[in-house]
Amino acid sequence: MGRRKQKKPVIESKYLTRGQALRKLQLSLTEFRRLCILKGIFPRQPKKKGSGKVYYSIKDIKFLSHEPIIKKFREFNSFYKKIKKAIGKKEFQKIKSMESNLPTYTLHHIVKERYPTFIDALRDLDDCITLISLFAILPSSSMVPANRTQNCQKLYCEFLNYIIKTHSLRKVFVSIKGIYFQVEIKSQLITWITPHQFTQHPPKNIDFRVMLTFLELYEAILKFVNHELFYSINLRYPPEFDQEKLSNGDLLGALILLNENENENENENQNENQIENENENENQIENQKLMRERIKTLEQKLISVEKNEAINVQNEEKNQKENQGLDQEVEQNFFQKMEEDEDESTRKQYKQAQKQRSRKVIYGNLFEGKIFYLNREVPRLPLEFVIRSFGGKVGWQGEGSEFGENDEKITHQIVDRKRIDRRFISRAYIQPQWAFDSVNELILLPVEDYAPEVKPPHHLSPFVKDHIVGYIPKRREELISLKSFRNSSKKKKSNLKNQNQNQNQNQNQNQEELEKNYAQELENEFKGITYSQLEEQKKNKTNFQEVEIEGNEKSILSKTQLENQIRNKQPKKTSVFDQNDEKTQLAKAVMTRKQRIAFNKAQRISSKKQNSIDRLINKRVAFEIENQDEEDIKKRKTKSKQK
Amino acid sequence: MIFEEIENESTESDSDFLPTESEELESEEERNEEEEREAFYEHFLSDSESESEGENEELRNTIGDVPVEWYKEYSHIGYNLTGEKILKRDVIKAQKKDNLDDFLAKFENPDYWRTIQNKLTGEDHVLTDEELATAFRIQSGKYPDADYDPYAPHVDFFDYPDGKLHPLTNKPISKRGFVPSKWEAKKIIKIVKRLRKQKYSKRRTRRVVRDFLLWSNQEKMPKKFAEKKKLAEKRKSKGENIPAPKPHLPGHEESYNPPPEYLPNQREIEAWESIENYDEKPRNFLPQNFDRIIDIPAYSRFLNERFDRCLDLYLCTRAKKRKQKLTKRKIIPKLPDLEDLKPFPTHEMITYKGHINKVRSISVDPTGNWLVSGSDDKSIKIWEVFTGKCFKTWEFSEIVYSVAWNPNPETPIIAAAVGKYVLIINPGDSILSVKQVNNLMKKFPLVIEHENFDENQLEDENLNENLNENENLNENDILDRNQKIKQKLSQLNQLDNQNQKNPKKSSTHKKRHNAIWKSPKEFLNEIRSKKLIFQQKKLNPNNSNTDQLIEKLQIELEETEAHDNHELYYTKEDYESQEFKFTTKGIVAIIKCTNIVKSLTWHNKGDYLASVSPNGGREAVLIHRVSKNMTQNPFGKSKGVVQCVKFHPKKPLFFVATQRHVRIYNLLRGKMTLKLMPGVQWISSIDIHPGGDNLIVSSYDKKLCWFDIDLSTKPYKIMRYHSLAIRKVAFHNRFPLFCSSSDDKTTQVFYGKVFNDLLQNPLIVPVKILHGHEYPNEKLELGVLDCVFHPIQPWLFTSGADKTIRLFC
Repeated sequence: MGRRKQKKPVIESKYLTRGQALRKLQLSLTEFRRLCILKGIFPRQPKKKGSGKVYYSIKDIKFLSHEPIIKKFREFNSFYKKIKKAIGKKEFQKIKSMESNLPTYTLHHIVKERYPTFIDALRDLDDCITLISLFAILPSSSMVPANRTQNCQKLYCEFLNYIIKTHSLRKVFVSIKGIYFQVEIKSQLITWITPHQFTQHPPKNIDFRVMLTFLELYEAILKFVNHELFYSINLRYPPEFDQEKLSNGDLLGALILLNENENENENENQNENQIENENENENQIENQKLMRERIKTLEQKLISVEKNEAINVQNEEKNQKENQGLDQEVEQNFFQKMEEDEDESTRKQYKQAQKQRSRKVIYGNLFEGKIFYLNREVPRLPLEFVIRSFGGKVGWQGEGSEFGENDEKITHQIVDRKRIDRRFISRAYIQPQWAFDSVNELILLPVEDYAPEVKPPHHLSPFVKDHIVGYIPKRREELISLKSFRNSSKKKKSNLKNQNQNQNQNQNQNQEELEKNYAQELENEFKGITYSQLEEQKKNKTNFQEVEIEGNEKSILSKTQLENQIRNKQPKKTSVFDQNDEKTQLAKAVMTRKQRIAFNKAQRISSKKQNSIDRLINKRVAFEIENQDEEDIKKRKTKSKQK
Repeated sequence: MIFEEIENESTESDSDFLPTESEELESEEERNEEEEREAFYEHFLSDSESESEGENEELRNTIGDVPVEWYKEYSHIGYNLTGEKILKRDVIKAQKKDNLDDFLAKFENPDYWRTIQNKLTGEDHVLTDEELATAFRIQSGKYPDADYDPYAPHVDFFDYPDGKLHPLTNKPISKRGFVPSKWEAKKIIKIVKRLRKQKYSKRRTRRVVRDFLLWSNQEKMPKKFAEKKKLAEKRKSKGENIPAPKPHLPGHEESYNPPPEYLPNQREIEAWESIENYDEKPRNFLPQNFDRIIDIPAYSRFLNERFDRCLDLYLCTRAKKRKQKLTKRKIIPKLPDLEDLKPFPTHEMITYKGHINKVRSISVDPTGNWLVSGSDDKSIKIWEVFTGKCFKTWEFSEIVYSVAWNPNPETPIIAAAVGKYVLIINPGDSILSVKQVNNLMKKFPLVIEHENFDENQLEDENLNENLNENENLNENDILDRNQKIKQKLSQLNQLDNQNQKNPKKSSTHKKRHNAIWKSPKEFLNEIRSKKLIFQQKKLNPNNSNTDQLIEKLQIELEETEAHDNHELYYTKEDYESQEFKFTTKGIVAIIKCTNIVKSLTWHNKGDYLASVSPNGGREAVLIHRVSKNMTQNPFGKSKGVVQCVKFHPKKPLFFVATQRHVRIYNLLRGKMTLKLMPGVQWISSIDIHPGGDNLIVSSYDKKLCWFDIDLSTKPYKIMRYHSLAIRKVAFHNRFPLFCSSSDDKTTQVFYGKVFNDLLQNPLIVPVKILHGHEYPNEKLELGVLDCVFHPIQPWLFTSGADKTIRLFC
């Protein structure tokens, strides 16, 4: 008759307090913290709350106990004990000889373990890049050794260069805190913030040991990520740095990018690897050739499809049919080939290449052919990064610039001062915000709004989806209308051109146009604008100029009128149900308890949302009325003067 | 290094084997030293001898082999043979030592450069050529003796005449001396092995980790990494590893140049600054506006924010929370198509206006042509349903709490609760003939039918009487009058007693009750008589005799009042202020109850009428039988505050709703059969489905309960949809409809179908919310007070605190 075992309470059977965990792992608290940071272990919240203690899952602790780094920690401890002893005995010679025995460890197994796939690593890269970009700027001190900051600089630089090369920058936002960047790598959105370029003064209440531990991990991650990224675009890793430029602060230009093909003159030690690499490279080159061929065929196909849509001329229909026939054959051949190959990797690569191409078309063409010159007072790194990743060329005032201020090729000069002594007629003078806004909207915004003397239009966050939030600021309205206007006018032009080209049967030019159209469509899709919306916008935009004229003659509106006007422009209620709908009111009577709770919650949320929107609208109305009054006074003054 | 070590080791081990040589060497060195020392002494001795041969033998210092410095402090330097002190100055004289001499000697004496002073004796000594030579040799680091040959062949100290080797000692050599060390051999073997494996490099260098691809080429991946990957995936799939949430993306307000509506105003800035802790602030920054990018200052909290994020990443608990997306389908139950459930009242048709205070109660006549309403303005009005005209009005001195039309179409009379009275009213010629009523109410012929009893008339009469009386008043008369009054009072008392006793004998329940049936004429007479008493009391304040008498009378009266508290018709103030009104036109009978009657219900057949006065204690519920002019009190004990009662439409059952429960009594057996527990705080009203098996209960705490009496004593369904207290619920007699009216100004209509099949639950669907009523003023939140369905049509009448009655069709 054995006694029945008493069940442990849930908290004890599932969780350990931090003290218990320390005892189990036989670590000190600082070591435990380090380990938690490196391994990504976090405390848990038991469902029944304990007595204000920090709980860790038992499974997590077991998982930690197998970590080889714990052994290294112990080695460190014993090593430092030996050193201490030697110092006490003043055996300095011995200490010197011991230095070579300092235990070292690597973190790649942890990186692999935390991020089993590359996508996982990319998904979690936000904090990593933020911290590394911060440390790249941080002055080295007793807490932050110089080699760490240098390493951070290098890693950050590599990462930025990859983005420039692949045109994967998506959004930029200048905030009070710093500049936000959003990039898209393998369809993962990564957002990070870099501080404005000032020296950071580390506050006293910051524990740099924690930050440095995180940094240690992040350095390891970013190194592997960079390697992977460089490998994916066939670049050699690690790249070499131009030390002069690096020390001058020219982060982006300091990197010397080499294709993997250019390896040949490298050290003999790496011969074996090289051979392998070369083999790989050859394979890749072959693949690329294959892909190119396939892309060509596809292009033809695209052209034919476009033709079908666009052209009504009968004569050409015949040609098209012939073309179609040909294309079909090509297509069939293509798919047959695919089937024959059954090589998924090539197919994947092909898809990737296609993607990359379209990306290049959309994002790399924005500043294509534009040449920017940055004045001294303008933040160089972010601007250079942004412009180059959208296909522009950059020069600047100071060392290392490819061209000087007097160069006639320059199309835009970015300036952040009100008065400019010497102006060139051939170029536009703009404030830096122009670049950021144009990038966010993916069109070249009118330059006049951003002239150096003018206060630029409001800078909106590109991360906010205004339609979902439910409030559209005035600037967004302007941008939307501007954008759709541009798109429609472009389309018209392209249609005209298309017709001409069809007559000339000049396929090459046609192709370019098609690409542009395709890019636009993609772009629209990316923005989530459906065709019907576009149509509406088009209608609006045809009236765009008329509206503007009206706007100039706009009489002064009363407060309620203004408010109504603004409210009408806001998106309609997006909430799941209309609370004043009679049916819902009726249904309220037969709701279950759960449903009622959910209903009340939904009501609360929507009312909160509505409140915040109302607050914004009220403020805006007040502000606009103020503006109106001012304008009114000005007008009167001018009129009286005229009289 | 290692090689060197080995070499050293080997040499050491060699030396172990040959100990004699080193010993020999050591002994030789010792001997050399001894020789040198002897030579030195000899030299010194010879030196001193040579000096002693000189002229001033006496003046030689005799301090011995001791530095001269020791005698610095003394004037002498040693002793001569006779034992006298040899004085220093004598010695100096004898040696002619003088600075001048010295200086002269420097120039004159060619040997001056090689003259040195003997520190021991203080004498001068000229170095010889040989001595000079040795000195030079020593200076140049050579052996002092020119003849010494350091590389001379070694000459053994001993001769070995036999040519044989003889040890110095006779000690036998230990075994260790010639057997090689086992442990050292092992050590060497170990080292050799490691050497062969090339584990030793020239200098241990740190391993440099070469860059490699962690994810792309899986084939090259070490095995342990593959395992790690498996483990990580396992952990991830089990939900043990929750990835950290991404940081929030910034909104417009974080822009350096935001739209003006995102900038905080002064009040918001102050509110933001008043909170010190950054964690508690609604935002961790204050939106600001800068004209240009160059104007943006450094953000001082950047590092802090990064640090906080780091802390969050490893110190915050994480849990997976399923974020339910609130969809319409999930929240809102699906209702059947309302078109199928028609007919039901949907919109307002007629508003009946006329009352000047809130309308407490309404009732419709069984033909559906007439509507009666009782109001707080102390009146009862009869309305024509289709035209909205007020047909008749009765005014009273008390609030009309309840009106009820007899449900039997053959006897269309109205019961009304006015203060403590239940009035039976004949609504009028057009509705009911006098004969019919007389037949119904056997005891009370409609006496005052044709008399016009206006309030003013009544008062005039009274006044006249009073005046007359005043004129005729004598002492005797007064006495007479008083006697008369006394008689009257005693009569009254007797009558009361009879009334009290009679029911005891007659009623089956043997319960005492205090309701009294009166004809309006009786009632008026009574009032007059009472008025008289008070007026007399007022008129004769001076007469002592009469005063006493009247006082007595009054006391008597008061005692009777006190004794039978319920029997007070009206308060004294009413008499005094003379505001008392009473119209008797059309009133058939008056039932005087003990407490204020708040609700009335007819039995379906129209003979029985139940009245409820919630504060009446044991007499809260009274059942009146109209045809017999009788009143019964069915309950001996009070079971709580009775809110409302109902008769079962078919069975002899009686429903009594107290504050918390509904009790069902069997009237035949006189027993309680069921107690329903709705679980609400305060029941406001109940109604019974015309089928009789279902019941709805409304409560002041916003709930409506549907009971299936056959099923359970607990509600089949509880619904909460009104935002304020529910005042009234009602079933429709013909259609499957019921409604509830509430203080939130709305009346909600439901489709409530009861199926004959016992297994099928009743179907309840909300079909319409009727708006229309408003609050009388902002403070008084009273909405719809009563609701009644039309007996034939699917129409609904509601009465509200806004003085109106509305018809919804």
